[in-house]
Amino acid sequence: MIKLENVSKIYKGDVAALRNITCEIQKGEFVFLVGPSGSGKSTFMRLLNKEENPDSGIVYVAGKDIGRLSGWRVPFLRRNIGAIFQDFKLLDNRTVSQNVAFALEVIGRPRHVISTQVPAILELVGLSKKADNYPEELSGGEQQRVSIARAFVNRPLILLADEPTGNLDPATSVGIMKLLDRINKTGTTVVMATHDRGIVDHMRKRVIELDHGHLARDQARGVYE
Amino acid sequence: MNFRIGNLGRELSYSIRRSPSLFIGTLVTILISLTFLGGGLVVREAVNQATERWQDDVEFIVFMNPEASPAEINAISSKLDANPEIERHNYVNKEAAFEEFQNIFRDSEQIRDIVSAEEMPPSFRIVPQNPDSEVVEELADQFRADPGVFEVVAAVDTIRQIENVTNSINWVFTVVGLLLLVSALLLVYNTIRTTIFARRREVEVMRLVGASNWYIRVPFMAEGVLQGLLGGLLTLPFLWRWNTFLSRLGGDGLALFDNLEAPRADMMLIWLGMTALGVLIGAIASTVALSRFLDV
Repeated sequence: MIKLENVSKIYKGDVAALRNITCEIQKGEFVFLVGPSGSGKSTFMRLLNKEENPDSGIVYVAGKDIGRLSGWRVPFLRRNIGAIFQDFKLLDNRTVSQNVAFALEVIGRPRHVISTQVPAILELVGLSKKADNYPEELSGGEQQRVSIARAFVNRPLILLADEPTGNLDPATSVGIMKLLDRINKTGTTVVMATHDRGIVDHMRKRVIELDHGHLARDQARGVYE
Repeated sequence: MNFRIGNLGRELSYSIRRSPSLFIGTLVTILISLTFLGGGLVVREAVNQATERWQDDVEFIVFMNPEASPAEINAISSKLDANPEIERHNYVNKEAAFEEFQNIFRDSEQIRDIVSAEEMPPSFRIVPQNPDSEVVEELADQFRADPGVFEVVAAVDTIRQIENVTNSINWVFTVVGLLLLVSALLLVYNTIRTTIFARRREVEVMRLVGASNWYIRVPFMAEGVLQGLLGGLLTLPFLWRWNTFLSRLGGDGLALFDNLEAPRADMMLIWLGMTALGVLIGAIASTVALSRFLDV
């Protein structure tokens, strides 16, 4: 599903974000990306949906070399990749269901599809009762559920989660992880960058550790350290 | 491209309601700028129209009687050829004169219909070596008494003066119009930049979930184009009023031109041109703003 071949990314001033990374992630896997701040986790994720391009090496997503993807096709790549973040990135002037519907509207899904899929996904993330609330009326955990609903409503092949529990307390985080696990069980590949030792140790999934841009460890059913 | 017109309308009205002052300010600047530019063109057309016979340095005209014989006409022609003070001359026959007349009064059917080609006087349009008014008067006098001559009319200084004045007006209008156009461009550019900034979160989410580049760009471009379009369309009453003012100036005030007014068809063309220019300005400014501030 995802394959990196000798991928390097160097920012201005010789700051190496990734050095010669080679790894492969199979369809349906759940992978934790760990490492200290500045180790290259975010860059790794940003390469996958082509928010950035590698300086060398090849990134394959769903069997395609995305480096050879022309600009106007990038949106179609992104429709296959859901993404969630530490800061949720919700639109404050829209309700929960409008936030989710937005993701379908802007890729031109017809209205009747939107009106059936949005309630279904809100049901899945357990927010049916809050459909008409605004993000500021929700707790952090609930907001992250909305953002997961938005990322998943289009049934992407891959879900990228960049520190999704970074702003949440441990109890709430557990709920989010259960949700991500359920999404993973539907066959969606999940790549999650995290600092949360407890979560990684508890879930016992594959762990890829980055250190100063190097791939330091790639361990099946691994722990944080 | 998957875009719904309803969505576009909603985006636009949202954008306008968010900062109406910026939208109106930009719109008014475009309007004033285009009114100046269009107004200058209207003056030019009106003066061209009124001085159609006096173009290309023609300083005096010898009108022949409509019944003048070919011999009489040839005599004048030879006399003009023989005069070293005359640089060149152009003979306008009855048909050409009739056509010119029809053209000058193309908006007034009543005047057009009362004459026929047969009644039109043929004439010589004369360009002297020296356009000095005293020399021209002297030259003109040499033809007044010749057989077959109906009237000799010289381009008195006033006509030239008015041409000069209108040229200056035109120049000022064009410069002011262009300066305002630059400021209109910058205003549209900044309006779009502000809009992009205000909606950066939405743009970010749109990119994230895979909205196409055009889907993201169109609302911003539409806002710039809408400002240009409205600014252009709204120049009509101003240009109309300005043209009416000119015609009254021609009729009452100056009395020299019986018809100082741009023909209606030309004025509509100027109006459409200004509208197209407005749209172009909006499109250019928003495209530049998008390419600089919208990273898609």
